[in-house]
Amino acid sequence: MIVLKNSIYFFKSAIREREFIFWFIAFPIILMVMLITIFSSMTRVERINFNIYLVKNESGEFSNMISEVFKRISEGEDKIFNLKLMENISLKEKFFDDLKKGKTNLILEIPEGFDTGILSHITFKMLGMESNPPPIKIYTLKYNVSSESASMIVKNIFDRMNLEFVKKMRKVNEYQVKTEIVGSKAGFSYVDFIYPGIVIVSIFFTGLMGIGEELSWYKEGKILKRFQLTPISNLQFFLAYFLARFYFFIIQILAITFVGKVIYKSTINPLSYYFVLYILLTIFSLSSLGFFVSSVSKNTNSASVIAQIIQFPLQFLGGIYFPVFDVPWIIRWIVIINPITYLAAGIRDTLGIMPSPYPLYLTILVPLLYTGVFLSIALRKYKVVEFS
Amino acid sequence: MKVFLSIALYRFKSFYRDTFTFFFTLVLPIIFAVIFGFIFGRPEGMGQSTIKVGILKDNEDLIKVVERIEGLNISILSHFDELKSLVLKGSLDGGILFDGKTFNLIINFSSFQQKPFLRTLGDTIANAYSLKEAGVEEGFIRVEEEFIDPGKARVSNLGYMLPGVMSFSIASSIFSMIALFGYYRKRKILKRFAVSPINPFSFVLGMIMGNFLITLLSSLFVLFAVQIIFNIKFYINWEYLLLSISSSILGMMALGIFLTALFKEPQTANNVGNLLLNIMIFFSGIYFPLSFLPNYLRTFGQILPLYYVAKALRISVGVEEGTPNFIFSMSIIMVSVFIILVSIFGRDILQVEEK
Amino acid sequence: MNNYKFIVEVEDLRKTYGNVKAVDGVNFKIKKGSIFTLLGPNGAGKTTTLEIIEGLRIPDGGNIKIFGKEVKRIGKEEKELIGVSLQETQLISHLTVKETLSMFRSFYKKGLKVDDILEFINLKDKAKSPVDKLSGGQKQRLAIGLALVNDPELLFLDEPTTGLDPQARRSIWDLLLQLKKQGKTIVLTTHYMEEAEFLADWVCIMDYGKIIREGTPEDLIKSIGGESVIEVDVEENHSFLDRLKELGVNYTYNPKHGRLLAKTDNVLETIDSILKTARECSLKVRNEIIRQPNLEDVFLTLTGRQLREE
Repeated sequence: MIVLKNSIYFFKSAIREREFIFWFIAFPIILMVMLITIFSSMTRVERINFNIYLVKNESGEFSNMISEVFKRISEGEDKIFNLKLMENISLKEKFFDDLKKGKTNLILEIPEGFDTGILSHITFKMLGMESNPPPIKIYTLKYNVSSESASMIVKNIFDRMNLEFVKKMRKVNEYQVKTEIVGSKAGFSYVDFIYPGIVIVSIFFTGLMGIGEELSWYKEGKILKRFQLTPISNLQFFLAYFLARFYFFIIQILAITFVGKVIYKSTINPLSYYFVLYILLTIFSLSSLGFFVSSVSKNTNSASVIAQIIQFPLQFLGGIYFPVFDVPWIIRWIVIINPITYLAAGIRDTLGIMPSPYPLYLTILVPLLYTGVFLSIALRKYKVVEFS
Repeated sequence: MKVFLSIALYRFKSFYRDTFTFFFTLVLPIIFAVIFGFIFGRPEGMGQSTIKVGILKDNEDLIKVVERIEGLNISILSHFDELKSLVLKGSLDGGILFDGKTFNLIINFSSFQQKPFLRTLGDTIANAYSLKEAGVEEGFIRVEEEFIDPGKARVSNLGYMLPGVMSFSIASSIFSMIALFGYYRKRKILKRFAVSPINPFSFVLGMIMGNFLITLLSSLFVLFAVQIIFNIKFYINWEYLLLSISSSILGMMALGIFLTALFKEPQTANNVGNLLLNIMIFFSGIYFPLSFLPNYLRTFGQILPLYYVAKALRISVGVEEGTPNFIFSMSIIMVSVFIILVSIFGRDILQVEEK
Repeated sequence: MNNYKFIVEVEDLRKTYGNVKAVDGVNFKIKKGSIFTLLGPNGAGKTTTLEIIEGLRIPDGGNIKIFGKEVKRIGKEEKELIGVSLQETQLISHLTVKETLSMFRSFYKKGLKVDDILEFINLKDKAKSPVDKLSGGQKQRLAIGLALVNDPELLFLDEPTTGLDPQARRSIWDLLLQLKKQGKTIVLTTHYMEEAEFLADWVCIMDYGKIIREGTPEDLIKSIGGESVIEVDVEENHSFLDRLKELGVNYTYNPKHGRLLAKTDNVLETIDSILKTARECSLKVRNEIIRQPNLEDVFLTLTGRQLREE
């Protein structure tokens, strides 16, 4: 009863704090919206338009046909390219400069003599003689993903054109293509991927700062000492405090779930057994991390330094935003010891979003183990504490 | 002048005691560089990325077709289960299967996230297969690809990304200004100076100068640290680099001053600054190129000042081609925004103190 | 349980931190219904002594008898009966005054009504304000209110008026006197001698972890002798001070403040000696005060230092 009643007071204290609302509710949601905005548009290839230059030095039938095709797909709502037609090859160096500066993602060149080359090639072919087709040149910027992507699409278009040419001459079998991104239930949805991750991140923030830093402030501001003077036991205090955070976690999860489910239509069922189980596991292990941080830090300042230092590596090397299981060994150890790694992998695996690179039992055992270790250290530290 | 210098010096010396600034300007950028560098960076000299594709060994025709496609690295496997598990684990980017009617391409999610163009791979293979069946496997039009080196430094996309982490150090100026104008005002430290014979302007300018030096040196330190950690040699144009960093620091300071003037409560200004920084980091083309984004987001990214900061830094260390004009105009804009904002809001802030 | 005269008895209490003997063999007894004061400068060991009795620290040696019962460290039962206000405690932020009191009230089996406490500590109109918005004096009154929620028999107040302005201090003193009237025993630490003099029934003067003298304020003051104290500002000058000694003036001199204090039973004669000697040494004497001796003088006599050495 005391625990329940006091959890309400601790909860009120938290929910009235603007910082709490900002960092632990608003910020994760903004982060999620940003990530979804960026990455869902990245996966929709057709929505991206690349800038390309088409340098045409010929005006024969084939060259015109090619440039027509490219003009056509650079028009309208669903255009793939922002095409610029260039006819003066003497400016080649300037074009390369533009490529390097990012003004264009790719340069496509129909070289001089292309049309005659094609004609002779067809003739040779018809006569059954060996012949190499004349090349179309594309210039791609090295190390540049956009340029690589554009090049891939351009090559694909030429494949398609080749096929169409051949179709006019002889019978060609065409095959259906099915592409599946593995690890997802029904097509790939970035929302499904990121939504459980954001829930974990928000719990992580709250555990580290809302518990770790706040409790060390309680310690520094002698609030804990004041509680020690009353008949309530340490256990009652910590239970009440944890319960208050638990209410807060529920609000956080509801808010993020609202955005994930209602606005972005995630297919994840937040009431599913696995989701609830992993979220509870996350809450326990990351809250105990918070208790642990507060118990080992001397004051609020040192707690916030510890929190800052572990926050980024654990967050980014926990597989929440991108997969991290095959990173180099120099930082791999962080991935391996990071409890978030297992939580994120486990939750996604059990929900069928992405397979876990680790055995499933580890995704439950490791967080449990951390909970045990953190809690026992924290409890011991708080038990023997003699306040100074 | 003496006061100004001694305050600047004091601020400079107190840097290591100021955990937050120390963390933000030095530790955090290096942590980020290490994390993102090792995850996203391709080792130098590896050149174009290869796509690892798995094929089942009984499909010899398909193997021949796929072998002809450039940029693919083929693994031949005997069982579908084996193929699928390798793709799931990420050891292969994808696997292609053909049952005589349909091509099935499976792509690993993480590969897809980093190389969204993989989606078109199935069509490429299917087309090539059709052409081979028709006996014209080389087609009529042959595409020849030539790779253009992006900059003098010949660095991988890691080198492209690393100057971006310097912008972290630089962006810490936002918060140092919020601390100076917001927290100092709140804690009445500025008031303390207003009643002493010291001109509050000397104090403020001294603090700005001290912060400026700290940030400048920190960002240079970060640059050297990443060069050592990743064994990269940038071709640094020192004039450009110092100009870019200095003007960017002033520009970010202006942003901090602006936020302090806009939000009375320094804590709020801090939160908004933090949020803004996060948005800028995502949308300013630091970690991935803007061309990945749809047009409206690309335009949005180009509004953000950090986009220009990162670009200027990349030009200065030679990983991106650019004209001196770009650097000069960015510097002029940053510095003038700083001067304008300081003269508008700086005065305002100090006047509140004196009454 | 009630057949004890002394509510707290402490025998040879010891606590060492590293090389520092924070509490070095302290003995005292606290009479029921009295205001008991530990007086001493900062770092004398007052807070440590108090916190040992309150159960926050474990002593290295010594015996504690509380409510007539020998304890090593007080337990739940005793905590129900005591009220404590710590030195400069923070409160849980964003809770209102009333919520804070209700929260603490819920920790105890029996106690007072929150509204009554609010009235008593004169914070009724602040009941709904967040604790972060209270002034120093209001915070301190709330801290005392928190110590009262369980209607304790024994109150420990650690420097309840430090950092407050005279008016706020006065209002706290009034609260304490009212509590005494209700029959509560109050244990107080302070480094303000006025506070001890005004409130205390019994004063223990502490210095370097030891109790160097105890008694009622009147007895303590009497024990140093002299009916009056003469204070003057005068420059430091050895021949002047030497000559005063020769004349038999019982004085102490604080060179830091340039202030001379002389105890005497014969005010006129002593003043005369001081002024005459000063003239002979061509020194100027300023700000002469003649007053009754106080606890400050006791401390000065015992240690040669002042309670509040700045």
